[in-house]
Amino acid sequence: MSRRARPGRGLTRRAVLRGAGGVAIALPLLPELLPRARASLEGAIPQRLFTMSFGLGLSAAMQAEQFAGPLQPLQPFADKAALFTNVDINPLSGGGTPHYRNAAALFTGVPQQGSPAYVAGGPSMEQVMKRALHPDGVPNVATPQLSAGLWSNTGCVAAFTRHWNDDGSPGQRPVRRPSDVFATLFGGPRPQRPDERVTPEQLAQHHVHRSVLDTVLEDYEDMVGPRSGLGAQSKARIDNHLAAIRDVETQLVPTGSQGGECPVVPPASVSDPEPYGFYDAMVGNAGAGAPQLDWEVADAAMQLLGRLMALGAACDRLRFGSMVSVGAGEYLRFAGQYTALGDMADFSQLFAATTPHDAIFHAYDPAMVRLHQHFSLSMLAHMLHEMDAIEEPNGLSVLDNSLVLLGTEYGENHSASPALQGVLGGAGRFNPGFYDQPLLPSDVYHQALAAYAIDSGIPERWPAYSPQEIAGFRNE
Amino acid sequence: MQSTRSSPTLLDATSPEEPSVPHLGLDGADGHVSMDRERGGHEPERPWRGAVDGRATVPHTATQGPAEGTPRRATLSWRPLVNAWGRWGCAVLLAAGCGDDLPPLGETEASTGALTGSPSDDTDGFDTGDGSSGDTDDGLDPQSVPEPRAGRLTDRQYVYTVQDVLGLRLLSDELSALPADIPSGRDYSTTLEPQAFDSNYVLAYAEVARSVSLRLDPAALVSEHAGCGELHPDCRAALVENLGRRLFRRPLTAVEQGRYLDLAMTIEARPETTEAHVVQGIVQVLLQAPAFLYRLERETVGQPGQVRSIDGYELASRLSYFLWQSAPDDELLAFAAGPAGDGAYDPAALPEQIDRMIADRRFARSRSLFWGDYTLASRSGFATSDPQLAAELRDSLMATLERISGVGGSPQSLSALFDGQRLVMTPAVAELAGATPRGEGLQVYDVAEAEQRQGVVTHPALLASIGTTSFVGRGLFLSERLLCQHVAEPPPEVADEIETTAETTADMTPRQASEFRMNLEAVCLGCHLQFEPIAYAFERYDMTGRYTETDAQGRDLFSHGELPAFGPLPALAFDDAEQLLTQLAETDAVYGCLVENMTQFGTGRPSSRTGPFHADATARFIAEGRTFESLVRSVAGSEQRTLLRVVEP
Repeated sequence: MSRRARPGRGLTRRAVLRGAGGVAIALPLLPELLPRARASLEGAIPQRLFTMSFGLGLSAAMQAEQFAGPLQPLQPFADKAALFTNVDINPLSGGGTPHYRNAAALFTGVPQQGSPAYVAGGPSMEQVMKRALHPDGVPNVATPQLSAGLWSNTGCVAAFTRHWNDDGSPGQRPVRRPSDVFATLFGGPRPQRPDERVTPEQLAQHHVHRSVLDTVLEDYEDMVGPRSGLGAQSKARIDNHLAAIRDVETQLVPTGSQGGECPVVPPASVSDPEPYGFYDAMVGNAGAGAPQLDWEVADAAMQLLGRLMALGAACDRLRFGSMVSVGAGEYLRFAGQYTALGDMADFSQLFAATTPHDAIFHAYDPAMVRLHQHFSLSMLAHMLHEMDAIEEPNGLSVLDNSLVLLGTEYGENHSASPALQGVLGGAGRFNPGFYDQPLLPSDVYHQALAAYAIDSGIPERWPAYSPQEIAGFRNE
Repeated sequence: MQSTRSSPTLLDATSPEEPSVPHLGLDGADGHVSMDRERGGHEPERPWRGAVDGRATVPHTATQGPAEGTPRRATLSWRPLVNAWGRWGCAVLLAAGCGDDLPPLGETEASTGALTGSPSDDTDGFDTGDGSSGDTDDGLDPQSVPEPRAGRLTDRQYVYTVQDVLGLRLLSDELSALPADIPSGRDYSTTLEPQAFDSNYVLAYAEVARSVSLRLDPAALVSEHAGCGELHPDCRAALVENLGRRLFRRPLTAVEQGRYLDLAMTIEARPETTEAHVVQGIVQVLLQAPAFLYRLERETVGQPGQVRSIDGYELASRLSYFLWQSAPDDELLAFAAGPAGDGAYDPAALPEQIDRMIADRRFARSRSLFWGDYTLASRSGFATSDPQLAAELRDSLMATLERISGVGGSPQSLSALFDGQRLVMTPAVAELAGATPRGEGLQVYDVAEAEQRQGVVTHPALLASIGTTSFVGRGLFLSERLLCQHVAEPPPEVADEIETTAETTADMTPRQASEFRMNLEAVCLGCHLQFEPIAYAFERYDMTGRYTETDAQGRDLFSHGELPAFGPLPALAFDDAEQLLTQLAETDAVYGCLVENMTQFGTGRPSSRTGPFHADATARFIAEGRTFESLVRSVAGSEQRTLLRVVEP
């Protein structure tokens, strides 16, 4: 369980104000209400990590096609992508349903905890980087982390969860609707203008909220302390809560400006592609699955999600997150004719009575799998395009300046090896190309974070694991 | 609140009282579709798209019914292959959720050592005084008591607690802000593992707390909880103490009391703030405190590995969230405090409290929640794309179970699940059941004359809620819910071979496919022989629960089979569903299974039929008439509910 000392506990804001004896203070002298200088990004590009995943895997043969096959949507990023085509998830997956057991190990690098829960064995890598860089919470950022993407609920959180907490419990479910992502990233508290006057009621409410937050933090710190009367597992759960409070402290009680300058003006509003209503559903049967969704509607939604996530990163309103393009063992039924790689798949016919999982993966149809996975990857590629299209003050793109981990839950048709993993971005820390060295996902994650001088923590959480160097991967 | 769309409401914010057939709070018309009901029959055969790796398909012959006069047995006439799971199995297992085996109690190592006496002194976390902590019964295995685990209030529990303590129903915006808790697979809504959590919960709790605090009348709140006629600083201590006690389900510690009064002074220190702001701040801090949001117990008080009796406050919280999905009321807290006010409750008064709570209108929440989860009605799409039909199926099933449970009449024996002759249905659902539709809306139908309709298990809605006709899918659900047979996951080494059965059985009826699997020589056979046979009795019920003797291709369907002996359940041969259900109704094992399910629901933890508590509760349940109330009473009043296994700090 990670615990971070709260600095200056004896000098909390509440204590200082109590000491002030209630002396009247003219507006707007409370320090947190003073407009803060907007952080210059010159030479201080924040470090970010995003995970990207797609369901149902790629066979070894399809991986071997490189950019001539389903990986084609990643070709524009060939000069900044390291793709690993011989990754074995088996040592991390243990027993159970292949989709869930492998998915619960994605981006954590440690064995998952097994059925019936299929929760992770540790935190996902974006959580690891976030904790390492910001032990006291990500400062002055509207939304430190956000998961987004397209998925349907098949009854197991591992199918769609990519954010795992320190204790392996599931974090946020990916947000499906672009309008919700927009509201989260750009619809929150707005910076106050220096000349804006607050009303007495606003000031009073702010004071109440800030004081309450201070007190709440003390409560949680006590609960994870030695005299709480709680066991280790319960404390871990409370600690998650405490960490989450620190993550969003500036959202709970806004303090002046948040984030840096936006290199691109965010939209004023966002409309969701329709019809999309089913994908708000949080419960329901799988089996023959969801109603069919026109692939172009899904594609438009993923494009919008990708744009918003990229904008969020560029505006420093988002530094960590995940994007899901079809969950593990996915039951999304697409409709319409999809053309790529010189072939055409009639999704309407293929999935009229069943799901991709049954129609073309169980009853294995490589030609159709090829096109379906091309589509899945093209949906993920939208976010990469958007990130790569925004230049930052150091002359590199948002993608270059970010670390992106790419993965899927297995290789060919439920086999956990070889499963594709990838690393994109990294601002020159990695050498692009295809790597066929036998690896574990843990090797990819550990080496990727090591390039940022961050310990992935995988060897500590999984003592049986010995990190393996990936020849030629890191650009020392 | 960032969501602007209407969202499923946990409570009807406008109705003055909770409805008699409680709203489940989840929109069943989510658009979840399994099969087009116009196709009728069973799921259509999937087109074969070619051999896999050059393997030829195995020819099959149609399963014949037994010749007249010959004993009926499941035929096992297929050539064995090293295979077990068909396409249906994998698909339905995914549909069913994460997994099917529950970790047995007592997996962790038992520690040794004597049970110590009184709990420790004041903690910063919480301290409820001396409480009670005594020796356990001689010979009690500590592993028979689950390890404690802090559980976040579920979304429903949060809403109901705010309503009951503060007298405030959440607005739709407030409800929308709360992340929905989604059970995994066939888990109950009250299951504690895994509980998702992230910063969105923090934001939601803060936002709802602020909104609620602004909507409350500070003067009324102070009057109710502090006994003050007006807002005044002198009322703060009583407000913190009394409101805190209700929301935390126990007296506040001295540290907490002092901290919250400090908060009041801090808020007061600003010239812009009024006493109303102080009251708002107190409400907000209490609603975001860990002692409110989490159900906490003193887990480390005592000797690690040993069992201690919990005190009255811990017991009151367990009971109230089991029976009301909400916090204890003043009367229950008074019981919890005990005659000396130190948490040493009077055990003799416990049955009376349980009875009172069952008789209270708030009990309807747990009753509805249990049945909705037990039958999957709360989350199923009911195998139809017609939202109206789905709603009618859900309402019909829930009304049937409520009626059996005694709502609007006398409680019935839960043997009605197996042998009942009356089902509540709308005309459309009655038509599916083979009964003559009449009237409008929900009506009680006598299905004695309908073909193969007996017990709630054959209610069209229950079969439709399963969402598949596959013997794997139906077998897993029925064997788990009715017989408490928990099946382990297939071992990873057979994962690759699971796929080959898909092609082999693609064009078979469910029985043919099942018999094919049953004739295999494989490590998986042991599990399939356990859970599939029960589904044989229901082959003639299609996806929406309609009875039919042939499938869409005109092939004969059958209903005979044999359950193998398992645990306390003897082997049972049957000709049809009615015969199977009649035999099950007379078998104590199914009532023990109901106890196991209720225990899981009530505790949020996996249950086990082993150990003294289960046997005692089952005996009591049967002795008291096998009604729903006796089921609840047997679990709520179990000695296990009064115990805690101490863990290391």
